[in-house]
Order: sequence, then structure tokens, then C-alpha cells
Amino acid sequence: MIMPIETNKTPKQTVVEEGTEFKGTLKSSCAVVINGTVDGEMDAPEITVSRSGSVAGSLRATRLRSQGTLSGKVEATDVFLSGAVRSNTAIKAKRLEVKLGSDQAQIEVTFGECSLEIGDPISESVALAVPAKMEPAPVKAEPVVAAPDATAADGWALPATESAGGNASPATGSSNSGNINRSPWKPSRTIDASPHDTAKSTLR
Amino acid sequence: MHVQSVSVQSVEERVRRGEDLSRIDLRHMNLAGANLAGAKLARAELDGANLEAANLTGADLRGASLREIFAPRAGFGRALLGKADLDGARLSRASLERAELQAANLSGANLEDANLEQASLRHAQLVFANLTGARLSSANLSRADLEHACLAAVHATRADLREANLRGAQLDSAELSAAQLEESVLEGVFARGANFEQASLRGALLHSADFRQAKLEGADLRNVRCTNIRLEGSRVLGARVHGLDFGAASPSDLPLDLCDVSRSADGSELRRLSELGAQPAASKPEVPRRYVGPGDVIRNAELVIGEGAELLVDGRMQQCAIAMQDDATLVIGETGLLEGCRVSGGRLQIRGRFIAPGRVGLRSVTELRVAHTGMVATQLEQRGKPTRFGFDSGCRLRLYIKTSKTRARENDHAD
Repeated sequence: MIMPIETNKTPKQTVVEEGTEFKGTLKSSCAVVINGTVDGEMDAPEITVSRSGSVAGSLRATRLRSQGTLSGKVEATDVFLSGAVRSNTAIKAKRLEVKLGSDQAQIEVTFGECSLEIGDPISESVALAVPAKMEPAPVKAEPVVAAPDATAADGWALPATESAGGNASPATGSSNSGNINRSPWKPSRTIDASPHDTAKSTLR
Repeated sequence: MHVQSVSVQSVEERVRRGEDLSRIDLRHMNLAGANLAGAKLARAELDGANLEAANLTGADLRGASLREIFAPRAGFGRALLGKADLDGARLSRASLERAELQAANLSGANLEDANLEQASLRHAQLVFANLTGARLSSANLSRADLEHACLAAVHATRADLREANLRGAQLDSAELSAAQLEESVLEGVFARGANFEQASLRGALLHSADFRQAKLEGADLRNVRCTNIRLEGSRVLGARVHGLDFGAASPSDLPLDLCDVSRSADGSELRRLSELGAQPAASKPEVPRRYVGPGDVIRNAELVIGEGAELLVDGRMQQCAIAMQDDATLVIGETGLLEGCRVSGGRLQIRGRFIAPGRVGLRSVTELRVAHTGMVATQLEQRGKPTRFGFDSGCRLRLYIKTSKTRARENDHAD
């Protein structure tokens, strides 16, 4: 049963209840909550697919929050995903948010075969441009001081602070950019291993 | 018995005489302002009735059907409503003080500014209920289902919410000081500016919860599991945090207040949240790390990243093949760029750019996390175990995710 819930001050919403299977086109000017199954086209400002809900077909919304199962074509401005995304699904959105569950927890979202087109287009010039953060980095002529334990046969290694057991932690997201973490040897290095003589580094 | 034609006065008279009105049919009846105090209405049918400002103090409504009643400002103080069906009921500003609502169904009900102080709502269904501004002090909501309920600005001091389900609930500015929330589920709740001072959340699940500006001073947060929790601007001074688990990565902007990390919560050991899980330096295992600094370029290289090792890239890697053990981590910093590279296995955190369009750049990675600054354009192939994904709002993706079935199909086409 599809029933609009209207309470005194809560916004209107259309609910497709659990156990209900809806086939066809559903257009709404108010929020839609899917606890059951929808097969077809949906267009609403806000769509929430609960854990028990599933939507197959074409879906358009300003805001989509899904904990259930999605398949088909999804177009939205903001998408918050968990649950499952089935094969043959295309998601096009301005913003996508997927929470990463803890190691112990179940996977928050599973993706079948699908394409994700999120945010502005990625042009070659944007993708390969030198980041602004790096451009004004006229590196001072640093004294060539080799850290005692920071040598590397292949010519690249940790900055002294890291190899000395510094507390910079990639796991916590500190990306260590800037001069403080530059190599103590040279302002920049280029290592080009030709296809016939591939540089091979093993880090164990 | 259907008494549609019966007047309000006659119902009031029968109630006054103490008559047993169990199973009476009063559906859609206008009982606004009626005095039904102490009425015996067990299993009565009152669906859609108008009970605005009616007095049902101490009434027996156990198992009664009150679906979609209109009862703002009605008085249900000390009423017996166990297993009553109040689905979609409008009870704004109603008085339900000390009412017995065990296992009652209040799904979608409007209880805005209602008084539920000391009410018993054990095992009650309150999914999508609106309790904005409701008074719930010392109410018993243990094991209640409050999924997606709105509890913004509720006054629930000392309320019992043990083992309650509050998944996705709205708790902004809620007053929950000294409340009991042990083993409750608070995943994805919005609790900005909520007050949990001296509350017990021991063993609760707080994954992806928003606790920004929340007050957690003196709260018991032992054994709380809270991956991706947001705590910016929150206050945690004196909170008991032994066994608190942030998952794989600690949240950013953790408050700097000192917390009690002692097992027995006796204040004997104080630390900041950011120091949780950190092992003493002496016993800290050596993590092999490699670093590609800004300005560095590596081309056509083959790298093998062993178990537990980390590779941090703030420079540029081109056409490289990186084979990683499942436990290994590759972090592409904000200035980092991997161009035309192939990465297999391991965990990836992308704050910079991974560009390998039109080809499989990521194969069998165990975890892919793209920060809001991250940009990924490639194909990802999942083999066997599915990849764990985390995408922050603001990231840019042109990602084609394949499964082993896709690969089999492609092979068939090739044959």
C-alpha cells in the first residue's frame, strides 16, 4: 500500500511499505520512502530506500539515501549509499557518500558491475595538472646530508623524519606534503625504468 | 457493538458508572474534550477518533486500536496502553506521564512536545515517530525501536534506552544527560549539540554517527564502536573510553580533552582520544614505509608492497605496476598522482589522483577509500572477495566497477 503520511508538522512523504511491489512510474513532489519493491521509473525530490527496500529501473532525485538494493539508472545531486548496488547499474551524481565500515563490521555497500560518474567531469588537463600546492615549491639548496639509516639502492626512500620512526601516519590521512617531508638528498628525483630494464622494488 | 450513534454524554455517563467498555467500537467518533478518566476500554476500537484534549487519565486501553487518532493535548497520564496500536496517532502536547506503553505501536506517531515523563515504552515501536521537544525524563525506552525517529530537542534526562534501536534517528540538541544507552544502536544518528553528560553508552554502536558539538563529559563510552564518527567541537573531558574503537582510521579533529582510559574507569590513566590505541613506542611494531615526495617522478617501475607495509605518494608515478599484499597500504596524498598505473591488492586511500581511464587500474583491492579531495578515473575489478568502498562527499569519480562475472563474459567474447 502506498500511503502518504501526514502529521501536524512533519513533512509529507509517500511510503511504499514492506511487502508492497510497485511497478510503473512514480512521480512525487514530496519525499518517498521505499520499504518494499519498486520496478520502474521514479522521480521525487528525496528518495529513501530502507534496508528492506529495493528499486530497479530509472531513478531521479535531488537527494537519494539508500540502505537497500539499487539497480538500473540513478541520477541525483546527492547520493548516500549503503546496502547493495546490483550489476548493470549506472550512478550519476554531483556528490556521493559511502561510509567505510570497520574491519569487523559487514561491508557497508557491495557493488555489482556498475559505473559511477560522480562530480564534475575529469578532463585530461585537470587530471594531470601539477597541483597548486606543489607549484610554489622552489626548494632551497639543502645541504646534502644523508640520514644514517635512510639510504635506498633504487634512489628513493623515506624522508629522514619518517625513517627515524617519526609519527607521520598515512593511515590517519596526514599526507606529509611540503618541504618538511622532502627527501633530504635532492629537491626532486626522476626514476625512469625502461621497459627492458624495469626498476623493481620490493618492500616487505 | 458499534455505538456510532451514541452521544459523547452517554459514553461519559457509562464511564462514570464504571461500566466495562472493553471491545467497544468508537471508531471515528468525536470525543473531543470528553472526560473518560479511568475508562475500561481494553481492546476497544477508536481508530480515527477525535480525542483532542480528552481526559483519559488512568484509562485501561490495553490492546486497543487507536490508529490515527487525533488527540493533541489529550490526557493519558497513568493510562494503560500496553500493546495498543497508535500507528500514525497525533499526540502533540498530549500528556502521557507515567503511562504504560509497553510494546505499543507508535510508528509514525506525532508526539511533538508530548509529556512522556516516567512512561514505560519498553519494546515499543516508534519507527519514524516525531518526538521533537518531547519530555522523556526517566522514561523507560529499553529495547524500543526508534529507527529514523525524530528526537530533536527531547528532554530525556535519566531515560532508559538500553538496547534501543536509534539507527538514523535525529537527536540534534537532545538532552540525554545521565541517560542509559548501553548496548544501544546509534548508527548514523544526527546528534549535533546533544547533551550526553554522565550518560552511559557502554557497548553502543555509533558507526557514522554525527556527534559534532555534542557534550560527552563524564559519559561512559567504554567498548563503544564508532567507525567514521564525527566529533568535531564535542567535549569529552573525563569520558570513560577504555575499549573505544574508531575502526581502521581515527576521525579527524578529535577533541583534545583528557579522557579516562583506565579499564576500571577509576581515573587512574588519562589520555586524549587521538592517543587511543597507540601502543607504547617500545612495543610499536616497525611498519616498513616508502615515500615518494612532491616533485619526485617514478616511471615504468614494478613495486611489490609486502604485508603491513605502507607506500605514501605525494609525487607522481607513471605507468607503474604495484602489487600489494592485502595488508599493505597505498596512500596517495593530496599532491600525489598515479597515472596509467596498475595496482593489485591492498588498501588504497586516495586524497590525490588516480588516473588510468579505459583500463583496469585497480584489481582485487581489498579497500578503496577516496577522500573529498580525491579523483579516480579507471576501471576496478573485484575478484573473489568484494572490495570495501568508502567515498567522501566531494570526491570525483569516473569509476567502472567490474566483477569476476564481467571478466568471464569478456573472456567469452574474446574466445
